[in-house]
Amino acid sequence: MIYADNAATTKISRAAIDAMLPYMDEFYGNPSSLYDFGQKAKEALEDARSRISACLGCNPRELTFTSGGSEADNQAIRSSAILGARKGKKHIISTAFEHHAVLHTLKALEREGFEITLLDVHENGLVTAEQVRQATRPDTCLVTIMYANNEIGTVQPIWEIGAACREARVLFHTDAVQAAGHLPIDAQAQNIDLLSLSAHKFHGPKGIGALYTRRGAPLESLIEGGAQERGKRAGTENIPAIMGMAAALEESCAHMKENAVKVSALRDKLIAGLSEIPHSILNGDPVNRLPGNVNFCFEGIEGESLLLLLDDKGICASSGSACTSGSLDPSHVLLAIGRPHEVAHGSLRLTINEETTEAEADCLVEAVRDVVAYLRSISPVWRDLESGKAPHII
Amino acid sequence: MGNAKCGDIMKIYLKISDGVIADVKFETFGCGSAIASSSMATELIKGKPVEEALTLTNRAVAEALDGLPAHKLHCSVLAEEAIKAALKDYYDRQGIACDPAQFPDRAHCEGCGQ
Repeated sequence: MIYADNAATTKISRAAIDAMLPYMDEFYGNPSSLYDFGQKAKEALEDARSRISACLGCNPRELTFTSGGSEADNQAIRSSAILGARKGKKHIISTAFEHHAVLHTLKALEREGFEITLLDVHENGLVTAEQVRQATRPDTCLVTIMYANNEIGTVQPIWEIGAACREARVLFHTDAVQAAGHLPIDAQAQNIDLLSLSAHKFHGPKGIGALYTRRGAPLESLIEGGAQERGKRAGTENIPAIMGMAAALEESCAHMKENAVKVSALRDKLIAGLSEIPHSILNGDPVNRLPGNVNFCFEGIEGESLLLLLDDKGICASSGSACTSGSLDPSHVLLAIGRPHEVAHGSLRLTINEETTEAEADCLVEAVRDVVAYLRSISPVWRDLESGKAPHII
Repeated sequence: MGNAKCGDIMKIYLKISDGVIADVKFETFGCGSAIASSSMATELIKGKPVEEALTLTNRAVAEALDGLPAHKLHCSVLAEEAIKAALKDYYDRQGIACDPAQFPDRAHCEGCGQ
């Protein structure tokens, strides 16, 4: 099997598993319990918090553990909205290609009377600080822009956007779920007020994430109940998962530079190989891009059938086609960068990592080449394009 | 048949001699279920007399595939419609009168209301 879908989830690392096990079968106490056995768990919890904070350039008091990236996104946005509404500020700025955890939360807020501005991400999948500056108004209470896009991998100018938000005195949240563990993050230095991350994207366990909130920025809780996480997030802490997350993040950060060099070189090789397929196009800026992300559109074919045939060859990949989204529309990300429907249907996302080998990359290119050729041979759309009945778009 | 907007397009080519479907080929742009449905539909009517081919239902196609997920059933409907559209085309070219009720409304795609 060649696993090329690391953006969907990653294999948990040995270090993470080893960090988790003792907290399942030996130190299983509840950190809120007074007795020594419970306090041992509490110590581990706070130690993990310090270690994760160090990787993010923030203070441990600024970190809240959540059940994952989606919850962190929901809490960051809802909290900022509540605070804004109290001051009569009900305008929020985001982008057209955020993850649904952000977009759907914004849609819900819209129904509750908020006004949402979604910035254009252009064909290259990048927004600018200038766009943010232009869009901010006196009644803007939050700017939420993802650090790196999960589908096309483009990396936003976070420091500049943060600076623009500071100038405008508006809270800046970034969904860093795809970036954490892969790109350097320094919450303080990058002018970030709120940040979401999720462990299973950097070799940690599923079901655990964190929300960073800059000291001085108030945080409203989403989940009410016990007093855990300083009253900001009720529920007994998932100690094993938190230990796993800490170990995974430390390991990823320790090897970040060398991994990025190795992986981006392989990514570029994949991009070069796939570009040789006629009537194909890379989605998103080739340079300001996650080290492991490759995303292409191939004209005349459909994404789900592409994935199934790749699966037959033992390759795990993803697509932005309508059939894979479960709705009639293809990926909102591809539409946001201007790909027409028919082209967006034929998309493929490959996300490799530091364990992907050169041989596997070569195999990926060859497999995609073969499957695209086969699907084109049975495609009436391709036949029309090649015969001149319809014009080629890419 | 179909519409690139809702994701599936199928074309059926029939070779008919002496009122029997001597050969049948498909071309499909669409998901795995769409390709499988159109492929299976052609297998079900190959070698059959034209009148029998007309009785093909999407249910038969789905059953022959050992079932389709609920949200993919429309692919089998499209396959049935594509076969029937090809047969209607044959009748029209041959100048044979036929009962319009036997043929689906080509302009309407239930899946996306186009």
